[in-house]
Amino acid sequence: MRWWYWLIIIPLVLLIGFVIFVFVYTRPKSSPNRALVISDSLLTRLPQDGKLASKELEKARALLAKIKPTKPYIVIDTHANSLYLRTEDSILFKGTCSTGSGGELIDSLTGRKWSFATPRGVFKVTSKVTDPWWRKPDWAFLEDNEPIPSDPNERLDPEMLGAFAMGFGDNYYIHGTIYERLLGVSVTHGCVRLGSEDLKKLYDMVPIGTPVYIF
Amino acid sequence: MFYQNKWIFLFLGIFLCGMSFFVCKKTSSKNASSPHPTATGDRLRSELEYRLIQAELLLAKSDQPYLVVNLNRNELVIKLKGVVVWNQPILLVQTSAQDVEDFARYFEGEEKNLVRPLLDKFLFTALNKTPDSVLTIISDAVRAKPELMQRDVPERFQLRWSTDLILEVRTEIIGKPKEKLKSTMLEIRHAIQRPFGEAHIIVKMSPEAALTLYRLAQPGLSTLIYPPMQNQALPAKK
Repeated sequence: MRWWYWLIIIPLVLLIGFVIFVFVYTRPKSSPNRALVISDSLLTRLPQDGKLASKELEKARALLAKIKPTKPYIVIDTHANSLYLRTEDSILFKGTCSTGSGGELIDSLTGRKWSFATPRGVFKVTSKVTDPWWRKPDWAFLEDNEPIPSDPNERLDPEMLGAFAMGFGDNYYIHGTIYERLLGVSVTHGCVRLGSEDLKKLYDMVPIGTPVYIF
Repeated sequence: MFYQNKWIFLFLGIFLCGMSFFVCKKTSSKNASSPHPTATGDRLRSELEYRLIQAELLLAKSDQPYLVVNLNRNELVIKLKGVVVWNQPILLVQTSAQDVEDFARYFEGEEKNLVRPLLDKFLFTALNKTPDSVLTIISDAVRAKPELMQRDVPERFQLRWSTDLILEVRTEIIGKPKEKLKSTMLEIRHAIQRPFGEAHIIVKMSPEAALTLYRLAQPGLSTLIYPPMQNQALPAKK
């Protein structure tokens, strides 16, 4: 074979090798989950008859409308630490909040474990409280390396939660904070903190029963 | 003298033929006509709406949020239990109407998928929202790990539903590259892949909106597409 043939072969092999390397190196880490694909074949078709088809379509529209709230709802975006009161089309209120840090605390003596994440999902405002007092849970003392008091009155803190609180889920609250400089950062133990002005506005706008969507 | 080494030319010939065939196949599939050419536009719209409602109702049963790429209303929406929790207009950058149509066509594929899971995401450049020094002070005060509080505000990232189906998000902030080598390799990959067929749209959004989308978009995120209406086979005007 002539020597200059290698001038064609070597760059070609290098080029193909490089292309293979690029494609292997940048391939997606995960593989597609076919179970999550909804294709045409999985869905029902409209009846051929025009009247039946429009009836079926109306039924489907009504089902879809049923799952949408008719009144404004609260949305808590834990990714950007933002709280909204909104409808499908418009935002009525927006505030910067703080949500759960996602951290954990383990009591080395008893092995008890706490997870400080804001719960995700759909909830409702179940209570509205003015001038709430915080009944400090055990973890609050463990965090401060203080002994857990036996007197329940020693657990009460009148300042920490601000002027208003709105309960949702399993003992979680949207409340105020004395650490307003930390708004926008995920630092809480699961509750949602708002600045005092935003809290007042939201408190006045939101009745009990308002849906709360947290994602 | 070339004829003395036929195998080289045979190899080159096969390679070039293969490449040409692949390019032609991709190009012809791009130009393929829409399905159901005989059905009426209203019927097709109703069919599509019915399928979309069914898909929405299926997704709304899940406790997980899902992403809606609504090319009809030019909107990206995150929904939870069927309810809008985040929405942003699709502001296209360096993207033509054909690119948008390609995106819908690639997304739907031959099986006419309305919902696909996100395959992966890649962050090109980002800016630390909170400086490390501040984080250290905060983490000491609240006894939380700094890495849990750290939020990279993305400047530029990609969401991929398959290797050739990409939505790229750009913001106006100026960040730092996250993985230089992989970023470069990914750029090269797109440059190689594009002539062979790739659906790639670029959208611009605010840093805060991009942060939400980037952090929510984990592999497996269910994504529903509302294809653009002009993509549907409408009856030809007489």
